Amino acid sequence: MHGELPLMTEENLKVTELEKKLKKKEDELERLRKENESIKRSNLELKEEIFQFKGLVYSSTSLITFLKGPDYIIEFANKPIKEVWGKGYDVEGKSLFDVLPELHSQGIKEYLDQAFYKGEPFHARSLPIEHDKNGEMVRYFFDFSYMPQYNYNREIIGVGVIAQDITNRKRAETELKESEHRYREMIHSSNSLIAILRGPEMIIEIANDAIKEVWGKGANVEGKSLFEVLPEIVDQGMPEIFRTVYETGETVVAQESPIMHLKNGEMVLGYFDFMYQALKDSSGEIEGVSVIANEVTNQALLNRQIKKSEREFRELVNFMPHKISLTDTEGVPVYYNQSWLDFTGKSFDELLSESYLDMVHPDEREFVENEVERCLSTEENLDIEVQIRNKDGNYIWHLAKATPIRDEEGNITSWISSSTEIQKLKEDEKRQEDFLKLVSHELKTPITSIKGYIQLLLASLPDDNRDTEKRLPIKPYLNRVETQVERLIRLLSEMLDLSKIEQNELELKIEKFNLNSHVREILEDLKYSNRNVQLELEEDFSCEVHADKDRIGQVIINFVTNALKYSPDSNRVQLKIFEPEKGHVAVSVKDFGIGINEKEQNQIFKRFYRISGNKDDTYEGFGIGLYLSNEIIERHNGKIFVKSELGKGSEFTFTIPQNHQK
Amino acid sequence: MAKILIVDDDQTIGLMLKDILEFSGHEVVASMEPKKTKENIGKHGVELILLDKLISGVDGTDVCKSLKEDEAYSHIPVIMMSALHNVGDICKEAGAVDFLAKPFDMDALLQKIELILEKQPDSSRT
Repeated sequence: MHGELPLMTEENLKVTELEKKLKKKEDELERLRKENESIKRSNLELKEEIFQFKGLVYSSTSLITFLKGPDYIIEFANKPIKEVWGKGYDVEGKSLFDVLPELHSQGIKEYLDQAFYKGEPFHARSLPIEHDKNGEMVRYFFDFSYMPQYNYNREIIGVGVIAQDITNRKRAETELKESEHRYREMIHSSNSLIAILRGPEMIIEIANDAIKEVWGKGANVEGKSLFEVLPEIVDQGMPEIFRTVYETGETVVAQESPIMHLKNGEMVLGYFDFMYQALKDSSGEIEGVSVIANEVTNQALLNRQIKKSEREFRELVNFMPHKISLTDTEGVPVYYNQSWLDFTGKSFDELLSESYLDMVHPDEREFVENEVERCLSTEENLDIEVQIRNKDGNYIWHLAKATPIRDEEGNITSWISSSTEIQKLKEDEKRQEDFLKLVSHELKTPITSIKGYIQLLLASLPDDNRDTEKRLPIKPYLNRVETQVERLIRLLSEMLDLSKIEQNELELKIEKFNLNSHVREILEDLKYSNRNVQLELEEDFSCEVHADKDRIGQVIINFVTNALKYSPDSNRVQLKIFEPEKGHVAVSVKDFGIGINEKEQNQIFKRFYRISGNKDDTYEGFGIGLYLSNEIIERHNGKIFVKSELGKGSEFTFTIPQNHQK
Repeated sequence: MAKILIVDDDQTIGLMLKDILEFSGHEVVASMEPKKTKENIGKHGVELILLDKLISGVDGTDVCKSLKEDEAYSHIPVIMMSALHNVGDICKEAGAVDFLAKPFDMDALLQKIELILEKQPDSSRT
């Protein structure tokens, strides 16, 4: 080719032709290479896209699965759906209904078929599905979408499932509904009267049966204004109350509020405890008023009854002439009635601020204080006579009594005391006693004289006077007169002793003496004046005693004269001195007379009691001998008792301590 | 037997006592005036006194005390009397040698007088 001119030869032409073909191939190859690169690139992009998409599906909180073919083979399921299924993570390649056989009976296949065969997507909300969790069926709620899946040729090859587990939301909703239901149920079944009123017009939103019954306007009141339903309360100040609550948010409470309302078609007066409270929405705005009320008509009427009764009793207590006071459990006065104020000339507060002891006569304060203390601690009634100072400063005799007031459990809650003026009674009593004393004293003078002369006469008459005796039995007659004078003297001293007991003047003169010789002396005297009587003395014990010699003698004489008196057919009386227990001595007097029946045995130591019997009339005396004896022995801290059998006789015994103790 | 002064405002008792005591051989002066007791003692040479506790408003114990406080009369025994039983101690405290409760026994009265007179050291009994 060097130095030679290119020649258009046949050979040259062929080469050129080939070169052209090669160039074309090369161009095509280049295009293919480029195409290949583009495909590679788009393949990569597709892979990335799928990867991203898969990642989205996997990481989604929605439940996602792809089911392939008419057997719904799980081609893919994300983690959340596997967790709901609870059958592990290796479920791909298996039929959905093999993995979750519990779905068979729940109509799921119909939904899937709808999407698979008809190509219709199926959406369901709040679909309940039960899953078998280790043998326990647990109910879930889902929002579902079943969507047909297509291949490249627009043929359906499976169903895609996207679901949301709304079980928790559903449960919360149910609970809320139930709670609201319960709340409404509670309101309606409550015995309290409940209503909820909305807005400034007080539209009744809720009114329970109880309040409707009291309103008496039937069942259909909801949606109406309260004042439209109950026009009768408008004049009773109710709108103002509601307005206040509604406008200020204040709670208004009313107790035992009287309200006229309709009941069975009649206007009646009822009493109610009310509470009106503002109802606020979640932002704190007042949107209405709630009414909670309780009918307390019975209680209110009872309270009024109690108040009325209390007022009446207070009037009664103040009207009484007796001085009435109340003290607390410690004995401190808390109330004085009008009579106390009138008597002392002091005000109620003045009386309460002073000690009640200040009103008591100074000589009696200690006694009164001790008695009150004793009653407070023993819970016994107080019953004393005491002098209380009046407004003029004079001390007036009162009979003061107090008794505890107890609650249902029996605990003392207070003491009520009543003081009654007995000044006149005391004075009368004193006059009577003085008179009695005077009478017996005055009678004693002539009797002393009579007795003296009888004894003088008896002494002056010669013992041996048989001749004159036959004509004129002066001595026996005088003896009889003397006996009756003695009897008169005994009666007089009994009367005096009785008045002494009544006036608490029976004082003992304690001295030491030999009881045995004293009894012997008494018996000698008695024998002297009762010559036909057989008096026997048995001395089992001998002792000196500290006692009132005369009074003890009096008891023994009383026992013996009683024994003789009630032994009309026997003249035998047995006395015995013995030691009933260490430090004590007893004297008993036994007769064989008419005896005393059991019923009367308890009575005979009472004042003026006399044994009843056939020969009643012949038993002399006032019937105070044993009463007096009992008093005397009691004052010696001794005991007196009787053993007796009707028709067989009686045995009277007294025991006293050998050493007298006050 | 002794000379006895009876001081009692009650004439009946005074007379009765006079009769009894005279019957028993005593000499008796009866007085209704307690204030003249000392005078009567001096006038009649009294050896024993029977004195009532309450004589026309005068307390016999005061009379007794005034006698006992007076040396000229303190040696004369006084027996006091009363219709009240429980005043014996008061009378004895006032200086009475004994006490008689009315109504009394004649024998008891005479016995007491006998005993008291026996004990008198300076007996002027006849």
